[in-house]
Amino acid sequence: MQEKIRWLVEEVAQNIVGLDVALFFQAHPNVFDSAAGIAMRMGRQPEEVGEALERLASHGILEVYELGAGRYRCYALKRVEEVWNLLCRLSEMYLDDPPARREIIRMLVARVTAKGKRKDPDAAASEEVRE
Amino acid sequence: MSLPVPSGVPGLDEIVGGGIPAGSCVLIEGVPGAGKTTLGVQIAVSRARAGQRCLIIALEELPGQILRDAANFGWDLTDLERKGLMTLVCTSPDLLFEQLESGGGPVGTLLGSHEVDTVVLDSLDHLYVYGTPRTSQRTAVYSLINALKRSGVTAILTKELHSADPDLVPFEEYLSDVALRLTYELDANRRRFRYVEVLKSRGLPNRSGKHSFQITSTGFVVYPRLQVEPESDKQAPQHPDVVSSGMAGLDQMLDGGLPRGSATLVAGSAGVGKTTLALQFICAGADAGEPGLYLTFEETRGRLLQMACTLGLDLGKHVEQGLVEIVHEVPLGLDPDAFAHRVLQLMDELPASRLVVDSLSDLAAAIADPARLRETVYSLVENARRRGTTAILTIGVPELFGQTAALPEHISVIVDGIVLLKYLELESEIQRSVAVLKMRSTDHDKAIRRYIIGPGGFTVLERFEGAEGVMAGAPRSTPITLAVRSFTEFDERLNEQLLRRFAQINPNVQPIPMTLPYNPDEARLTIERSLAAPHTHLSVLPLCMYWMPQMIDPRKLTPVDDLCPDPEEHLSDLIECATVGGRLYAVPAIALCGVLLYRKDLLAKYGFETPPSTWEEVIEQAKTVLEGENDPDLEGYVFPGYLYEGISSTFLQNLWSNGGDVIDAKGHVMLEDDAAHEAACYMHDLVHVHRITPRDITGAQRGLEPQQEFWDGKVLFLTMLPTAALAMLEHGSPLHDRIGIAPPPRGPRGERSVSFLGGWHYAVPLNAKAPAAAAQFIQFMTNRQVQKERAIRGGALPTLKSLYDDPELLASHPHYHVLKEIVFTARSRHYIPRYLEVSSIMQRHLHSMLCGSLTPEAAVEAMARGVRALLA
Repeated sequence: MQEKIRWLVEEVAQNIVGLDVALFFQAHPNVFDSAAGIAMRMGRQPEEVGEALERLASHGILEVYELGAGRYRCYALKRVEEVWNLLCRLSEMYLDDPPARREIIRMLVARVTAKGKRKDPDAAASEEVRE
Repeated sequence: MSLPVPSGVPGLDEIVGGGIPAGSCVLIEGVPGAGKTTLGVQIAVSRARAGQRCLIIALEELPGQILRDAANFGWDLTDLERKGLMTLVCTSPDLLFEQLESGGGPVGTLLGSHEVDTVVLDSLDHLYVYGTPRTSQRTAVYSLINALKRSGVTAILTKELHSADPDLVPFEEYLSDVALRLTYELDANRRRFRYVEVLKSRGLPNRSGKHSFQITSTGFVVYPRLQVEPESDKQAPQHPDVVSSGMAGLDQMLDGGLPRGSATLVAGSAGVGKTTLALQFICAGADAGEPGLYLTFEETRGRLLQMACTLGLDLGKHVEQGLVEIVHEVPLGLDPDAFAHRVLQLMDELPASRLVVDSLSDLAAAIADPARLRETVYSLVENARRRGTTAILTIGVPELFGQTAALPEHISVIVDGIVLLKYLELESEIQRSVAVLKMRSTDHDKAIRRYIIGPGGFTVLERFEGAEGVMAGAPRSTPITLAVRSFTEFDERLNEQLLRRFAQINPNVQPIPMTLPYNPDEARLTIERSLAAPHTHLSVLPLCMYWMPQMIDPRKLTPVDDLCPDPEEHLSDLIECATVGGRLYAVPAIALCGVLLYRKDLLAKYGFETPPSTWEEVIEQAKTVLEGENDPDLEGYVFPGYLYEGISSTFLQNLWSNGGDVIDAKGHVMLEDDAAHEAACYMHDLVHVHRITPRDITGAQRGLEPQQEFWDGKVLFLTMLPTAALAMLEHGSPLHDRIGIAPPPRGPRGERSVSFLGGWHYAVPLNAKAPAAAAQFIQFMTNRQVQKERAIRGGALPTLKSLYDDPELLASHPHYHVLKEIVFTARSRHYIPRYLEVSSIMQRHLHSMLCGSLTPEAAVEAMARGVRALLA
């Protein structure tokens, strides 16, 4: 697996929500919305989506806009070719390449386990299937 | 707002008044699945392709979905984005407002640049947070629209309709400049059709009503309802000509053909030949180089080509050459507006001179709403008419036999003509009938005719004669009136016998004899009325020879050459007078001439061995017999003196027998010469000088039909038709063997006796109800056998020359030796131009002379003056 992809999965996405947000922006690069708006479109809790958005923004995958004197914090895909290519590669591996997909899930599960959280591989896999 | 700019949606600009005004706010409202987003995106793509920058704001749908949907229509939004012509933003309503207000974010930044031409917002409903009061919703939309307008963009806003209630008026409509409502409705056949309606189009003339649209592989296509603009005088065809239907018989029924640009409904039950007729119509046009469009719903293209081939029509060739276009549509699921547009487009592309819609019944199956069907048919017909395209529309009727129920009124009033094809049972056989029920502005045939369909196609035959109730499908025999000419009661009885025999030979014909008035002038009025009427109950017209020049009219009579295969066998003048342009229009039936009838017994009693051959001898013999008999009831000489043709023909006979004439070879009037003067004096003096002729011959009783007194033995000499003598035997006169027939006596200048030749012919009027029966009747009444039988039984003279030498006839009537001489040397009157009017002048002055009001000199002068003025 490419180092950049491993970095994107382990360092940026970090968990299944982060992976989901990254894939969402690859599928819908024209979204410009708040964490609440994006969470609504993704069908997830705003809090967990917000954390993921911040991580992606801090790693230069997304851009953050402040509107309404700080009342609205909005996110949009960073329009950089390198970012776009990275997301496209991630998308291909996760959606079209089953071995790569399993590897990505294992990486996320391992990371969660390493952090000592109570989340076993089966639970992660169940979540994947649900998605 | 500026001028309208093209929306890029086929058909849409037509209904909104030319396009979408730049800078306007367009509301697209519709039920779920109606195509709101598609329409908005299509407009944006069109503008972007035109080089204008567009922004699509998706509040609900995820942009990826929009991209994929667009790609399905061939719109590459990503490519447009790359080119900087399209931006797609997915955002939340509150953020949208924030961006609009602050000018930040991608939306605010773009709009702030004033480089955006068109913004599509999908959809307004997401602006409204659950529970937001309506007033606040309105404020939000108002604020949004103003923000967009400030940016100078054309705003396209979509909105969901939660009800298809046509009376529902969302407040957004008040705030927008153009409001389009998309619906997706079930019709009576449980099929859904998409419609777009322009509810509002501020400042632009829009086309009202619901217009069909389809979402095709290339996007929205709107089919504006066809409408017909008022026609200006310049557009209206002033002198429409006719086009052939491809069936000679039907063309005749249609008064020459179908008026160009007309629409004709061909109605009939299944299998009766509607499609055959339509195929012949379209092929006849193609044969003449006229392109045609054939719309078929039931028969496939292949089946039609096969049918045409069976009929011997070159449809396949015409299709290959592009002269005929066959379009097969399946009625189920047919969109009427789309169909109508396709038809008009094809008509223009060909361009079609002829159109067939086969059939309206199938179209009606596709368009369940009668009003919509009517509108569609009307639009098609009217658009075809304005293109000069002649149309045939077929329609099925459910009844195989019997009375046809009324045709759909909403259709029958639209078309110019209606042709009805029917099955009927006649003589234990299924037959087919055709009738033209209607054809505007033409004098079409009102007859119901038989037709057959064979290898040559549709062939119209003769009318159903002798049958009524054909249209009701239950024909019954009906009598046919056949007029005959009778001269005496005996003649009348003889004719009745002949008619009965004719009816026995032809059981389908029930002839009703109609005896014409004895006075030929009155008879002529009867005939003229029949000819002038649109339809006459007289299927056979008896025509008198002296009427001929003015009565034989090819526009009113049917040529009868076929009924007279050997015209040279007839007396030549009888054929000549009935011939115009080389065609015979009346068949000679009987011949007539003037003769002198005399009492052989009385002349012999006073020593006269021969009848008088000169006028002098007439006077001498009459005076001698009258003096000798001294019988106050006995008259010397009676001739027709009443005011009718008889007085003219008597005068002509005397004039010609005195070497005179009415006109000379150069056409100069000769009525003032000595011969004419002497002829007039002779007639005058018989009454007023010699007093051997009674004065009352000028009256109808004695001057019109004087033969009765002759039969009773009260007249010595009688100028009359020979039938008057021939009928005496049948009449039972005791004097029948004492009668002699002699040529008309000569005048002092006459070298020979000259009688007038007359005769009666039978003709068939073009407006006859039963021309076939009439032809049969004429052949029967004029054949040699009947002529001979009639002559032997003492009836009128034959027209066949050879019968005058027939041994059997001569044995029965020795008079025929004399009659042959008289008839064969007799002169006809039709050589005199405008004879009917000339005779009328002569009648008036001769009658006045016999009455004693005019001297012979004055009478001939008046006749000459009148005839000269007439012929000048």
